[in-house]
Amino acid sequence: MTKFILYILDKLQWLFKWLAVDYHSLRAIVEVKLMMENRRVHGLQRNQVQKKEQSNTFLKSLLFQAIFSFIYGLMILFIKQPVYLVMMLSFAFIMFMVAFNMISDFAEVLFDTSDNVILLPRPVEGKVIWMARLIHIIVFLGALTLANSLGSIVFTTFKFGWQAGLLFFICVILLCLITIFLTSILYLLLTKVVSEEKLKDIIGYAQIAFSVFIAVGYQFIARTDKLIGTETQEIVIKWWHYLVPPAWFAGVMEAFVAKHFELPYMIFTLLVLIVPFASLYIINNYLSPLFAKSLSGLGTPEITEKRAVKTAKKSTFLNVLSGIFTKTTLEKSAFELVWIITARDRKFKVRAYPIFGMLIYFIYNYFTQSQKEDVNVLMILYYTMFLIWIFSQQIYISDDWKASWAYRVAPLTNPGEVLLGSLKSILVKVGLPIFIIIGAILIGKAGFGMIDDILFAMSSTLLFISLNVLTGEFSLPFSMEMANAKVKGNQWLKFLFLFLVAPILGFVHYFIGKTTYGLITLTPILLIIALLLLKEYRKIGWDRIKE
Amino acid sequence: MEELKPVISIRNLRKSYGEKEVLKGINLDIYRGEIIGYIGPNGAGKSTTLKILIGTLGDFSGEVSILGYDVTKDAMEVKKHIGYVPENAMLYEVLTPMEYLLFIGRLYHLEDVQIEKRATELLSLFGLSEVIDTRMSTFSKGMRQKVLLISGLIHNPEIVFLDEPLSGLDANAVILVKEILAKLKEAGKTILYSSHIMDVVEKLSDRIVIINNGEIVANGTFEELKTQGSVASLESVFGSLTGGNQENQTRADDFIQALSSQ
Repeated sequence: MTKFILYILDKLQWLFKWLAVDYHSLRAIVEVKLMMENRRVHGLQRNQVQKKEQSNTFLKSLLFQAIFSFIYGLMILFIKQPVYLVMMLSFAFIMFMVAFNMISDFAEVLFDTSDNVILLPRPVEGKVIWMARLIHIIVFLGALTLANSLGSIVFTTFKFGWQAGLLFFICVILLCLITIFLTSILYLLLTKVVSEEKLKDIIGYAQIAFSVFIAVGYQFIARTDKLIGTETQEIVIKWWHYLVPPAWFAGVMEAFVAKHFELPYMIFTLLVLIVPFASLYIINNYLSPLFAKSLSGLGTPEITEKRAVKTAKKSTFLNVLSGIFTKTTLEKSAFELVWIITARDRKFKVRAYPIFGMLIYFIYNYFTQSQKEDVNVLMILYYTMFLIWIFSQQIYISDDWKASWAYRVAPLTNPGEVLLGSLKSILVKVGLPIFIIIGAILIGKAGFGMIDDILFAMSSTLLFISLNVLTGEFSLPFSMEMANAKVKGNQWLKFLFLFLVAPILGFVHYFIGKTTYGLITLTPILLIIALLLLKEYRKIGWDRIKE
Repeated sequence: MEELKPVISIRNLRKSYGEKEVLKGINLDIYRGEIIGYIGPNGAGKSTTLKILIGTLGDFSGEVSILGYDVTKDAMEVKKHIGYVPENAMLYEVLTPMEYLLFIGRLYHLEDVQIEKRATELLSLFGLSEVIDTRMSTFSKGMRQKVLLISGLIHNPEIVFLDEPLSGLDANAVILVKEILAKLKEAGKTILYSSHIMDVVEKLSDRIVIINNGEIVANGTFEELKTQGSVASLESVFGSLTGGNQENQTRADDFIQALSSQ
């Protein structure tokens, strides 16, 4: 794999010469990075089992995304619409998945400062490091992109012939590059506008805002085109189509398949051919030198040390809360640790907050589509469950995972209490407020009749999360590393949950809701089971904690 | 008159992080073949100075030039001629020492054959020939430090910067490193290193520069510093210049007191 990529790079030397990038150093860095990614998988290391799992995660998410691409790709066969519109939907889907993977998992590779100590003192220009990172991202994201487009490629070949399939494949590659480049440009511009010290924080928030924007934006693109029509209906090219890459690629496909060679399609083709190279050129010549400068400032310990972050000595509010919700000192201390770190760790926010985006979309739907009101209520409630579950999963990962040695050194006999305390922290900090807000919105629109639905959803959420106690192995809070790119892309597994488990629970809720007293009687039962399960957490011993 | 031209010249170097000024006007000339011990209490600005010298930290005021090259304008030229051994043993652990050194060497555009030859010899000098193809994740701190040391020297630099070069090394390796530094000096290399181990600094340096609160408070040979402060060891010179001597005794008492309080 590494050899194959290096072979391709060797063939592309002219490109790097054109960009005036020192190919010798670039090749050395890319080779080492890929080598290290491979090692992390097969390495005979201390926590071998875990590493193996991680490598599988990447493969799994490749597989899931590929399977899903077939489901999604079916529309190419069945939707009766001109090629242009069908293709626009396909490319929009692929671009959405690429951007999603890029933002959630790979963007941090761009701003990785961990190996500054190794690279910066060497005679390597900033743009070489930058280019090496882009290539590193392209390799992994490229695999994910191909997985996502597999279905569409197959169905396109099936419907329009192998030439069209091949063209689609080439388009997908270019689309992947465009997405990566555009995202990078966005980030690089940010580094220009923003002062060095604030940069990392702002990147974090921009990441959140951007992914919310993309998630919601995709929903709108998918909706604007009604799915029923005829294959020969007239294509209306709106002005904004010139701004969105999926439309360009759709134009190319339309021109090829339906033999349309009017001016708009030619413009689209030109855009497709020029934009990837132009953006690469801009990144390399104008933006990455700026970036290199700020990079050396990022992550130097002095800055963070000396930037005096004033914090209240001890938040009495938190103290009272942890007093109410926890029983032992250990639980209390875990409760407060999770509470404080989730508020301050930028990376945690970047990983967790974007999922609020879809919730906003569901609420928007709820207010605009009156005909499907009860379905939309369930969407909101069970998306909220998904959201709280994601939060509860995120607390295990941290950049400072090495600090977790403290758990093992301390005379700690009951790691279960640590787990329980941190879980409670998330439930109180995220679960409770969000259900109160959602509850207020639903009751505000539909009246107090909603209250049994809300309470039922709350207790089933609690039950679902406490069911985790039945799994075999646990990690202590903030004790896992996220650096490994093979584990990246596993965000997708969460979507499996979103598409399978949450809807099932929603259906169950829907049918129980049809009965008169179903929800009211079941709510306390679920609650009691959940509380009993939570108690079980205390009994988790060291034998069930992952090394 | 080649001898009289400094290889490193620092003029009125200032650097601040936000409000806080960490370096308050450093002036320093270092000549070919000197071994300079650069010492000072934690947070005095040692690492900041080193980072500026190796060209990884910009945004300072003053003039810093190495071998006649300005460290900001000709950063690449400077980097080609210097070697740097950082304090924190950060290296790509999943690689073997040979792979890592091959990678580093390539960044200096050395030929693979040449790197392999040098790496093999240098690693075996440090007694690492057995583990030449073993991944470094299993290495002890001292073994990593040895690899780091080699990686900083593999391109045969004119000037070598070392941050705590002896940390984590066993007694034999310490002696070896000391010898290496002396030989490097003989070969006309210039060495600037920081350390907290006073007796090493005392024995190894031609000249000792003490920095405190972002200012150079002493600059001279050990003999000169001794007469200046009329004390016997570098430790006491250091203490009196950075304001530690009298306080340390009482602080130690207070520390024990605080531990035993209820």
